[in-house]
Amino acid sequence: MADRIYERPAIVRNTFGAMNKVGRRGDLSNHAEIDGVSIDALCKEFGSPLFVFSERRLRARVREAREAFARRYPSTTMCWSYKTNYLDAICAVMHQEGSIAEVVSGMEYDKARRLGMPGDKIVFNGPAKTETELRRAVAERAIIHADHLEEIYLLEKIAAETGATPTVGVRVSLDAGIYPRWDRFGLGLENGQAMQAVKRIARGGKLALGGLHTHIGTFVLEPAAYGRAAAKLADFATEIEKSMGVRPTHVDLGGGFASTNTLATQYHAGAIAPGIGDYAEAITSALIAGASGTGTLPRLFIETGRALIDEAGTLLTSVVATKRLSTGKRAIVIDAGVNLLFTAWWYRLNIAPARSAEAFVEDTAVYGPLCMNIDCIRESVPLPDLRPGERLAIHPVGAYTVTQSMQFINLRPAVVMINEQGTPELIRRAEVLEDLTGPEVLPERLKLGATTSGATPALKIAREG
Amino acid sequence: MSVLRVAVSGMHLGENCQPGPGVVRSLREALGDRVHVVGLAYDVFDSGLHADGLLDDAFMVPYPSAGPAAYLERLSQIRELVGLDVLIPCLDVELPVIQRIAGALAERGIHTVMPSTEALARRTKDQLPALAAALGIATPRTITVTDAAGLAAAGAELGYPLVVKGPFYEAEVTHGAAEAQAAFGKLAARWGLPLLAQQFVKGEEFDVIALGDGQGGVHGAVAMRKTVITKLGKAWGAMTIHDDELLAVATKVISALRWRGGCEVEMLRAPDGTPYLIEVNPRFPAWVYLATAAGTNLPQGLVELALGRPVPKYPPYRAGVFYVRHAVEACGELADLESLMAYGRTRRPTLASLPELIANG
Amino acid sequence: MPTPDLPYDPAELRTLALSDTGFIFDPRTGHSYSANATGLATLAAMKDGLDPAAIATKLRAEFKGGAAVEDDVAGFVDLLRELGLVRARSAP
Ligand SMILES: Cc1ncc(COP(=O)(O)O)c(C=O)c1O
Repeated sequence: MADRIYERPAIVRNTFGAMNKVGRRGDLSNHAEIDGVSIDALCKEFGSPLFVFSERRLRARVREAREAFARRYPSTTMCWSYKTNYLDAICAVMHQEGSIAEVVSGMEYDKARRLGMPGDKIVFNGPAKTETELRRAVAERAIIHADHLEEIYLLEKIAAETGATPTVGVRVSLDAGIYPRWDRFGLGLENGQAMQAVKRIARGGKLALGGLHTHIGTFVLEPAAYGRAAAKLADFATEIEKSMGVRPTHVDLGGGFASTNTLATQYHAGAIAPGIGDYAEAITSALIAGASGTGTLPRLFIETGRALIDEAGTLLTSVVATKRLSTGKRAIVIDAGVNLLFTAWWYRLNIAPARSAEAFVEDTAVYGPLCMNIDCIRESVPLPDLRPGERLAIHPVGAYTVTQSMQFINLRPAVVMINEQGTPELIRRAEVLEDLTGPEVLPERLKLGATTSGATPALKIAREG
Repeated sequence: MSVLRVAVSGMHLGENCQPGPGVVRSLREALGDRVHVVGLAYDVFDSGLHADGLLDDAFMVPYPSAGPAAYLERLSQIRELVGLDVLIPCLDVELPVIQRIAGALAERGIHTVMPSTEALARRTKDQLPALAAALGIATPRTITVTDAAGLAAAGAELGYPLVVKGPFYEAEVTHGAAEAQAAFGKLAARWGLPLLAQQFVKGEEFDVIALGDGQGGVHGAVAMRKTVITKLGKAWGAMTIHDDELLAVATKVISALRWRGGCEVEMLRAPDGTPYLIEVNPRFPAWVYLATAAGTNLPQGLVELALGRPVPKYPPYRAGVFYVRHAVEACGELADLESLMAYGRTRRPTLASLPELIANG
Repeated sequence: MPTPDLPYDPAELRTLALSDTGFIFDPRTGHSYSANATGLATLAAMKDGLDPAAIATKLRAEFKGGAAVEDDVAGFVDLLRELGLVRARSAP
């Protein structure tokens, strides 16, 4: 019988209401490779933890989205939401696939320009654009969506000073029947603020009217909400045209489509989230219906972020230690935590061992390497007996992880992208201490060994001892 | 005629009774030995697994929260083992999952009767008010709530008592802000967000069970008045009635949704006689057997529909047929639990000698 | 018959019903348990009165790839204690 593989002896009490061995079967898949490349080999070559992106999956998804709209609507522009993931390689793939850039800060704007996006292929959103940023955006004819009236006044001032006539759109906050309502961004449609802003742009004589933009929320599981939002924007556009004789240059429905992730508050696994086609159907049919009055279909902008990139990203991590908590529950410590996976706070991320799971799994708490109680990736996920050094794959983690990662007590790990030929390519090297300390300035007098009176006796003793 | 193999879920008759056992009884009454019933269970203590003579076989299945792939894999396994012609899901949370895999199931010869995605979406608790408004049917005012502040605001607007409802199941009638918050915490923990706060409307409770043909027509429908209601607000007894107005409201809803399959339309008659639409449940209710007893065997019709055969016309049902629920102890042996735990299947004489049946190996 | 040199009393485990499937039933409490193959083998050996070292040897013979088996067995006994299947008893 020595052919049986040894596992640590384990026993669990069967609890009433959860006595179903196959109950959480969906969680028990293993994840030995990504696009044919073994997880173990990836970690050996690039280290652990490691972010891995699949270029194949990414491109397939972007094409799926593009085609979902193209099939239904004559003119759609995809705008890559930089904040979702602004690694150069990722943005470059998106631009190759025909997406223009959507940025919400000067830093993102600079990043897009650096990648070769001309200003008129950059949608400039965001609630806090500075004067300097706006001057550059105006000069480079970026597609600006103003968030508030002060921004419009500022743009008028820039116009007056430069003699340019910037084209300026308006971010609209509207009630799409979903909760929470993101009404802190943009100008209210129902209370007339948006109309007031449009009037100011169209009649103020200094600016030209651009597009109408809205972004109703994120991880919106209800395509019908986009139908309602699109209908409202279409009606608003018609109203503007009728009352002012100008037509908005485009309507932009923002992002917010759900990815296949699973919200912590969601009962069903993310796999039953609506597909991009469902969102496209809701939006385009509302726009087509809404245009029946004027007979012209507005150009459509889409800024979907997480729905495109989430699936393509996996975080590889290694088990550091295993333990039993005071309750008898099994726990593991892994080398990646909420410093890399900010998203773990609202998703139930899948965690799968690289090797195939044995029949016996136990509910396990998964903790990261930080010295803080909040560093928990999953409170409970069925996992087999794991040993230090064993690899796990956490998925999907393509959206808002790399961009929101924090450098807290650890440096950030490397990021690789597996190209379409199945070869992993480094797209961000692992950080080194110099990346952290480079910008720091240590005043001369604080340097260890400085002879100024600032050195404490304790330090002196330590040096002498 | 060969034996039909039908899988039915929702097998627990507890504080919250599920429809599975009533569906099975109805099928047996119609088909006798010509049906082989396979129960699908989520816990080894699901009562139907242990009730005498109810099921021919039973299997543990993944929780719907495990996702469509896991579900499909398990149903395919079960089909390999015992064959399956028809699947009748009896729990709301299963539907989004089964809808996703209905095509794949059909390819494997497992037939289901599902409402369209659109129909399912238009009857969810948060969308029901819009549907009712479009059809000119009264319904209690409902506000979606995602946090404590939202709930307090809803309470202030709708007043107390206030009904706090989960997205799929469960509702609590609360009599003040503190009670509402407590119910909110409990339901949110179990079902996730958002929840619904609903105006409390006083009145007698009525339900209609129906089988929609998917074209806007109704194969059969039976109305009842609840006679015994538990503390949880569930019917524990009811009587069939002939009330053309309630049947008309239900029919209007089913036609508008082009509902395909079984459903339950819950209504309430306010003291002034106005019927209020409370809920549309996307499957047969636990009391489905009452309709069968009154002469309208809807599960039988659903099986015909699933197999693409004409559904026989139902004769008028009888009013005055009643039920009171009769709970009994379903007993079992340790070996029954072990079999369900270890093999994911009810104990059979041959099981131990069939290691290939191990479900999770 | 007490065996004072063992960190558990085999008599306590006597009534425990162990099945090859890993299903375990404690008739004293009505609780049931699930164990993996090594857990089951360890329990069976404990019932037979084997000491931890002998259990570890047995596990090594029956399964391949075990490293710190002694530690694992000790951890398992702790777990049984936590579950109330064996009572606290100071180690020898
Ligand atoms: C203006 C704007 N557009 C697009 C997005 C992308 O959203 P998502 O990743 O949810 O699609 C965001 C995200 O916050 C946003 O603020």
